[in-house]
Amino acid sequence: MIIRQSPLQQLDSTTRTLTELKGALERQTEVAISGSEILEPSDAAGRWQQLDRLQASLDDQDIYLRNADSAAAVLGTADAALSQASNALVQASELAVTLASETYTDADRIEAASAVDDLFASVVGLGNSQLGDRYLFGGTATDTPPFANDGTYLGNTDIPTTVVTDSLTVPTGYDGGEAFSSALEILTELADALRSGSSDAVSGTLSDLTAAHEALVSARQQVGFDQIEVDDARTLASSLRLTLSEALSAQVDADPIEALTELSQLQSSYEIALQVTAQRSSITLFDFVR
Amino acid sequence: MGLLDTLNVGASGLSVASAGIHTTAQNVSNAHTPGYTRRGVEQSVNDPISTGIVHLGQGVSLDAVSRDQDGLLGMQRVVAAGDASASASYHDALAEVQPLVDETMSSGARSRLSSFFDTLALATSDPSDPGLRGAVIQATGDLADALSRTAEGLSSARETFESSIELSLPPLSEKLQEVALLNERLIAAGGAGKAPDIADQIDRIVRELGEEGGFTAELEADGTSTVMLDGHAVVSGTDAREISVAPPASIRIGVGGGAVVVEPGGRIGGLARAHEAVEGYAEQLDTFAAGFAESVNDAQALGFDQDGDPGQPLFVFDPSSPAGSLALADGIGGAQLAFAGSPAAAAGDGANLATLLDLEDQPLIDGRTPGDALSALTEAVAGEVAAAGTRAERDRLVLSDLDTLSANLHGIDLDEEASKLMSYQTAYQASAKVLTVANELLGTLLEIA
Repeated sequence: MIIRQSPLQQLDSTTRTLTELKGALERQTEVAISGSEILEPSDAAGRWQQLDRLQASLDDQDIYLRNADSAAAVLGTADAALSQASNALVQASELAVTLASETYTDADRIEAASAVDDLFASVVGLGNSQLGDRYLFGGTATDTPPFANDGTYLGNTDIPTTVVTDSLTVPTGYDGGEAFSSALEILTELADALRSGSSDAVSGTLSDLTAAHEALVSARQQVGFDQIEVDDARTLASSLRLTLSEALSAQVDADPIEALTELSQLQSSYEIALQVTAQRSSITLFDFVR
Repeated sequence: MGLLDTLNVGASGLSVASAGIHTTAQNVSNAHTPGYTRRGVEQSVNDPISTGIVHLGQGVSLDAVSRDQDGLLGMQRVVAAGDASASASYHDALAEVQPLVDETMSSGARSRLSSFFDTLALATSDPSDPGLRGAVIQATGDLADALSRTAEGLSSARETFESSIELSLPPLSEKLQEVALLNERLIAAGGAGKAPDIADQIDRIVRELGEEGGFTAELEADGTSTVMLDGHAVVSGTDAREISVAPPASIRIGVGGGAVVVEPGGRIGGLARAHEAVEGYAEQLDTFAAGFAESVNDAQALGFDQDGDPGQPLFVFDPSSPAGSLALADGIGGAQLAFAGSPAAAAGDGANLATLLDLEDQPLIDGRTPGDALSALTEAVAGEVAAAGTRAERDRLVLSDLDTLSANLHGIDLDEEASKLMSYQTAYQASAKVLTVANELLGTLLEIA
């Protein structure tokens, strides 16, 4: 069979080669500029869902981190409030121990009652602690003060929570009744005992003061546990974020050195192809016919 | 036998050599003409005459100027051209649709769906926060808009395909008429051997018909071409049948006033297949939109809003076109989000917010989570685009191989033509010399006389 070299065929072949090289060069330029191997979904056909799940999990970690930060702020404020309330009870206990002594007169005790009233008001204020516009100790009743001035608990026992991992929620508020009511009740009792002037009555509040203090300590411990969980969740989210980012990067990101090397090779190929096309002289027998 | 006969023999040689030079010139001048096939001179020796003692030759005759063409290869090329064109147009059409579900741009429905659940997750930190509630409403509206935009894009793509198919038919009809007319001229000329240019024209048009609509042709004994579409003759001899778009969705072709409905091939066939594929994607999107919206509305109905009223639907849609019509319900704002678990729940209650958030991991749509369902749509389009690209490249290579083979067998090689030119030139010069000698001899004879 004679193999003919048609000039039309040669032209088509050259044009196609140049077009293909130009397309490859343009794509590789985009890869090098964007740093991503995947410029459109069909570049990752077959593993798109895997990439999508990775991206979705990565997005989730960002949300978990933000929620953990919010929860940490709530817990920090709650811890500070419980700590101060605990200190107030310690002061009240010291006052009770001192004034239970017969060395103090009834008048001394009546005068000291106003100091306990101040502590009461202080604990009520701590029970009405806010972060932004939110009350922290009203359960899910976050928009109104959970304690009335007389110490009545107006909140509820529901605990609001926020998600910090796929399977973990942490509180963003507390049942203030559980935490503060016993403290407020015993402060009221102590103030009444002092006003009565009876050292025995004052002495009788000591055990309840200790119990109320322990309730506050216990509440603070719970906040501490929750803070640990938030910290763990934050560490987990940060760690997962890093791992997922690396996994996604491994699938999507172009190796800069490889991308630039390939770009350089394609540029050279394209330039050579252009030169060859420009220099190509179709020498035929016609050139020698005289 | 005399000198006059010798003159005639020389003249016949001169004439055939001249035809050879002319044919070579025609080949050289059409070396860059697409669809042109090499011509060759067919010549034969004239019958000799008897002098009673010997038989003397009477020179040479020009029988025909033939086309160097292989019918089987020609048919294969038409079919391959149709296949390559169909694959390429299918790939190109789907590649145009791909950006509608392209999540690498972070503006598609999948990204919006993620944002919807992300804002719900953020709202758990303070369900009563108007800002966080507002963000959920914004994300809900954005998701509805994104789904609606995608559905509109898919619908618009289908309309474009239909329109393109419809607009292609009048030029195709004209080409079919042209083939019928050329068949008639070919018959009148006495067949392809007598009218190679007409046969070339028919081949070129048939190739165009193959590329555009997947038409094929069969060569008849009289040299005419019968043009077929999906096994039905649309041009037979000098008759061309009417073609028109046919339902459903105007992506099929009716032959003979719609008497027969056939599947087109070529570019139109590729568009028709892309139309069907996009229709499937649109149905997938509708299934998602309806399933997701109903699930969210159901979950919303389980809770109570900030006024203590039962949750109202977040989404509204027309069941006949769920994705395209999906929208945030009128009058729905942050306060209407039913995050609370009971009518008397406090502001920070997020019992039902957890229910809404749980939807992210529920197999709501054909056993898939909402994210996976949308992701599967993108993957379906991406996979089909990639596969179509591979098929298009394969079909292009098949066509390229056949074209190369055809060019090798029937193309114009300038070296070969130059060699023939020299050969015909020599033959012409020799025949001219014969004429000169015979003429001189006749002159000598006349002087004697």
